[in-house]
Amino acid sequence: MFIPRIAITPGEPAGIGPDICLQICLLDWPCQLILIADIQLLTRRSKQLDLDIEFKMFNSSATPTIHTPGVVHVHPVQLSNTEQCGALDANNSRYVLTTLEAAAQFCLDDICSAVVTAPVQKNIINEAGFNFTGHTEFLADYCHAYPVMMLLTDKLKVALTTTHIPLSDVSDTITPALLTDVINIVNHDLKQTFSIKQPRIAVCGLNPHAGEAGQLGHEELQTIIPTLNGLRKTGIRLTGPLPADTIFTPKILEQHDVVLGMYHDQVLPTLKYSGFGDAINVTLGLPIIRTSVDHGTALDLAGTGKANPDSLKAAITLAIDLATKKQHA
Amino acid sequence: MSLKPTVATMIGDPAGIGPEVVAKAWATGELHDYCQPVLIGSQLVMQRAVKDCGLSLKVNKVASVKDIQNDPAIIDIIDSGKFDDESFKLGLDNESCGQISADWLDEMDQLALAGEVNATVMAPISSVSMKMAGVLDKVINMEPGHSYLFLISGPLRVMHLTDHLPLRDVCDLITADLVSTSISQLNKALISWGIEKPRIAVAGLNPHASGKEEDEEITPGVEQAKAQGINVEGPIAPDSVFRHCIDGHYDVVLAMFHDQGHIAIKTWGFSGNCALIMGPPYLHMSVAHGTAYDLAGTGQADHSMMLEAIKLTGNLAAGNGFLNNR
Repeated sequence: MFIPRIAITPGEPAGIGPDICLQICLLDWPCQLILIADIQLLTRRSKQLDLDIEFKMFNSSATPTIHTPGVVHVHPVQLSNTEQCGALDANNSRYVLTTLEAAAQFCLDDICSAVVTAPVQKNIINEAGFNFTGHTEFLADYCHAYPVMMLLTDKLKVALTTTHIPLSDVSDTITPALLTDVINIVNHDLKQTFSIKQPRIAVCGLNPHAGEAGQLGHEELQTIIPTLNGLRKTGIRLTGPLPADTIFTPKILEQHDVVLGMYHDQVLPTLKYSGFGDAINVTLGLPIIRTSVDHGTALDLAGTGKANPDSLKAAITLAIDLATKKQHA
Repeated sequence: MSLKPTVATMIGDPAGIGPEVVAKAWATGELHDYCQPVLIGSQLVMQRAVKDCGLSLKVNKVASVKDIQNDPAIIDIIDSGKFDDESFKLGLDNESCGQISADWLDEMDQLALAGEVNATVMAPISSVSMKMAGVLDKVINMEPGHSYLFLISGPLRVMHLTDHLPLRDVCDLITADLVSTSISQLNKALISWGIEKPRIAVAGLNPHASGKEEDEEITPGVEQAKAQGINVEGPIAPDSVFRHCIDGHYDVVLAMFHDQGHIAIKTWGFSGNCALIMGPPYLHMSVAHGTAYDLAGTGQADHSMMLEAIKLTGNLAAGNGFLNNR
């Protein structure tokens, strides 16, 4: 039987990442969990939270075994300074990045089946002198790949053509080449990783009313429509460009597997206010499987035991599911 | 206000469902609890609509507002007698229907400007018919700095700083002055509608509300408004600001551009969506649905949005706040 081995990075040591990673170790999992972290940090935090967890050194040459609640394997990476809950320390930024690199490498080497990331604090990593836009971009660079960000809940999947760029740059950034790459990645990964035979992709327009035949902007006529037409000829099932304000209606959602947005806030707000449940962040386009929580470091809650591990649970569950599908593909 | 405000409702394009949903809204008898209603349009068209809906309301033609009978069983309509096309077909775009829609809007505007009615409501018109008649420009176009679209969907209320513009033109239009004057106009309107100390949220423009426009224009604009004593916060991340409004932390969100606000409103999808045009010196409301030609003449069209729009207009004009007010 295939036992997925999931590498988990607890992220920012002063935040709730370590808390939620420890909390979920007490549960049953149909996989092996590997925490990539400082073992002293994990020991301190589990004492603070009064969680009874035994830490074992991870042996990468052993075969995966099913997780035992309360026992977890750790691949140790050492902190530079002892962490203090809630207090960011730029000296520990290198540690955070090293845990990510180790997790990615385990996946590239087929030692682990997926990586699940807990939140990091972007600004402190940048303050430490590293150019860090986010997990998505960092892992893509490490794997030499082009990433596509996708967020999903039980009921809805949304993917982004552009991510963290100024709105004023969006129109010029969306070129036929970019759009072609993004759609090919979404189509390929939904087939390969999500086992959807013929993914149906609904594509948002860029302008109000999807440009209204050129009345409200030209990007649809000049870039989006010709690119979609070209891709349709290769057999990809595409609808659009559709007006973004009516794309999230039941009729359209029922008939599609994913909504592709042109920019960050065109599709992400919907996940947050429409009762679609907890969102999970997945990076498409990578040679490895990566899922992530959809929340921040919540520094004020670190070490209090009040952090909610639900998003992490959902991210691990999805990682297990995707790893299993990939194994059987 | 002891006397209820007079709210004029233009019955909409004669070929669409407007006259029917107006008749059904009137027949509920609820309008008179909120306002003194009067219609602008054609007596003949309304008589037909009343019949199509199987209602037994009388349609009473009045010359002016002071003649209205204020009786829920009698529809009062100001009919200028201009519409004499009896050959138009229900459910089809038609030049004469487009022309009369513009004429009726004009008559309603005159009444409101003269202070004879306190607020106005527009039933669905057909932009195609109005275009055929060459009068589409009679419908108010949003002009940043002067007029703004204000959408309402249950607890979510969104005013749009800019409207029908290509996305690439939005960023350059957003200035600190525009942000601050629009907040101040919004605040004034909310107070006049009966919201004592309005709580206004301003959406950011960029992901996580962090970028050049936030630093250079939106934040300074919000600060200017705060300095005038307005209870305003922002810029707030566009992916969470609407959620905060739905949860009741704010009375309204100022959105930066069309899709930002429209996606939130339409996805949230409360029944009873309606749209206010901010800019005219009087309250001007329109329903969020269209002429639904396929239902015209069947009496089957759902009148709940029309009813909600007129009730809300009456409530706001009376200074009694939103219908589901905090």
